[in-house]
Amino acid sequence: MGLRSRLKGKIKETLEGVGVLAKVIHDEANHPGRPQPHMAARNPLWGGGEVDDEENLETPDSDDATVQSTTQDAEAESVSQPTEEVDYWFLNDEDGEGDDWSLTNPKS
Amino acid sequence: MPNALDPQQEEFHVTLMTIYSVENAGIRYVSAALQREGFDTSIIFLRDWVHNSLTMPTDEEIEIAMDVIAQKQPKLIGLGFMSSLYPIALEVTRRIQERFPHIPILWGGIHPTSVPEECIPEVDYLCVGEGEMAAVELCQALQEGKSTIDIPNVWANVGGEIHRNTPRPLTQDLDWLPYPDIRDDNKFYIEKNSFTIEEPWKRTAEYRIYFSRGCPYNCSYCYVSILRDVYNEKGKKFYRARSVDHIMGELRMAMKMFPKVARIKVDDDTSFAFGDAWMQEFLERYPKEVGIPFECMLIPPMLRPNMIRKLMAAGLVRVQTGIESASPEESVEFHNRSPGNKSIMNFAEANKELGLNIVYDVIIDNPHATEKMKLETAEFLLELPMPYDIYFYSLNYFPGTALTKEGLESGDLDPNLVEGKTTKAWRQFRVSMDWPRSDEDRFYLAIYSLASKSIVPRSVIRSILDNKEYWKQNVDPVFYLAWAANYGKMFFVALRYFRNGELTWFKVRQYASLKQLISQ
Repeated sequence: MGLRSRLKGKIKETLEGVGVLAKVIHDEANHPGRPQPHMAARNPLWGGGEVDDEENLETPDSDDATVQSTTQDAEAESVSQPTEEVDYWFLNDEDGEGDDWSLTNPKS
Repeated sequence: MPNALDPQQEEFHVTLMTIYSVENAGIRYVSAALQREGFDTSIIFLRDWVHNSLTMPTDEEIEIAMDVIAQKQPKLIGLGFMSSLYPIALEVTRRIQERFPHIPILWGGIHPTSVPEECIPEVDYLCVGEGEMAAVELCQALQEGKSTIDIPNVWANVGGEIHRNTPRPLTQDLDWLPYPDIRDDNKFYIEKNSFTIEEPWKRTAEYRIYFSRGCPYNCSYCYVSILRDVYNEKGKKFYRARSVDHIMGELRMAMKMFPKVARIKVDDDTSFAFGDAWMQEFLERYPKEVGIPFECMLIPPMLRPNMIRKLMAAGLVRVQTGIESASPEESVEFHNRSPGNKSIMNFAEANKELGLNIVYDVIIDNPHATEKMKLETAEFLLELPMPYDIYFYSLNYFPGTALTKEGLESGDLDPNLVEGKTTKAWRQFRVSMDWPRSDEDRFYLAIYSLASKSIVPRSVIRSILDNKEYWKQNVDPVFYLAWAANYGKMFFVALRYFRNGELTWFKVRQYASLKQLISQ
């Protein structure tokens, strides 16, 4: 009897959990993108929510995280890289008076 | 309205409050600055912004806040809030004024900074701009019974007369700032008609930190355009960085006080553009002294693969950057942004090898965007190598931004559509599929959404886009395909998290329960 009620309780709990999860997924599906950071931090489907000390914690969570493992090294190497030795424009404006820094973004 | 206090009072307590903004760093900085000068402070967090269904706090919740104030007997109440939350802030303020007519109220944050003329009649004081020094000087004046009408940054409504004070120069040395106040014992977190005395940030695994203030960009829709207007200082740096040493000190404190912290979110509008010496020191010290995975936002010109590679070695796991619109015309003419397509595409190609998790910001619902602009964004998203995620933002008009001012001046923008008067952001800060949109906008939202999902082959999406005239007229199947792809993605993510042990029934139930209770 005890085993049976424990089993029933476990099944009930699991079904409830599945129901809640289905509702959360249903709500998430109504949103086309990732939640903004402060919302994602609370959302268990995006690696958020309260944590226990023992839990594994988030790693990057794109749905396609596994897709890109077969990288095309040769292709990546041939990609034209931005010129990294050029400083950012705002670091070259020590006095903060350049029009492209104090007033607006550079348009080019 | 009252503003004079008994100078004989020894204990000067300040209660600060924020609404739907548990992650509000500004109020924690102000609190810490006041504590450093010997003032006692408490912070009330009235609700947490968990999702897109914001409602007024319940009477019971507001009453709890009143009871905290009654218990603390502050000599000043400071309320910091965003524009969208103005109706709630006003209601809470009126309740405070009814029950505690003798306590002066100070409003701060981006809304009072944006539209001080509209705000000042409602309260005793406003803080316009950065608030740490202003709050300290105001409290010192109140404590000593001195005049409060000529404090830089502070607008005063005293005896029916308004005193408008220009802001002091921006704090150039950010190391002057104290570490934000993240103590437990002076925080009151009100949610679900009850409260806990705790620092609510501790509930998640994430610690949010600012390495800098300001931004190199001046996008028309962003609060930065407001601050640049307020300060407008030639010869001063608007974009300012803390020293690595100061940052490491805060992170060491955070790790001690937040034992569960497993992720650092660098909340700057952009970071790591502080010069070679700064970068070198950070790259050496962060992995040794902190070593916690971190994420950050970067403007497109900063997506330089060599730099990203070094940051990844130091613990960078995710980067967020703004496409906003891939249409050069929309970027320049409406958003006042330099088109970042080339930088983003270069980085995305290199990222095939790097494998960094990347999230792009995309703004939709611009009523002035032409179909050509929307199509350019769709094409660009389809060109971008997978995988990536998107943060969709619905274009909201926040008061005081360059975009809003331009719209109001030209007559293109109905004043009632400005946040604070409307509350669109309560429902559409995070874009939802079911928000009323034209067929054309539903079509492009569906395409953008599909572009970031691997479930639907890109050849299918391309084919839909090639026949856009037909599908715009018959948008429902495309729209529901995007919806179904969202379901598929979330199901896949849930499955993976369950398998990894990162998703538990407890977490799911807790989140669902929080959402349900907040949206009641």
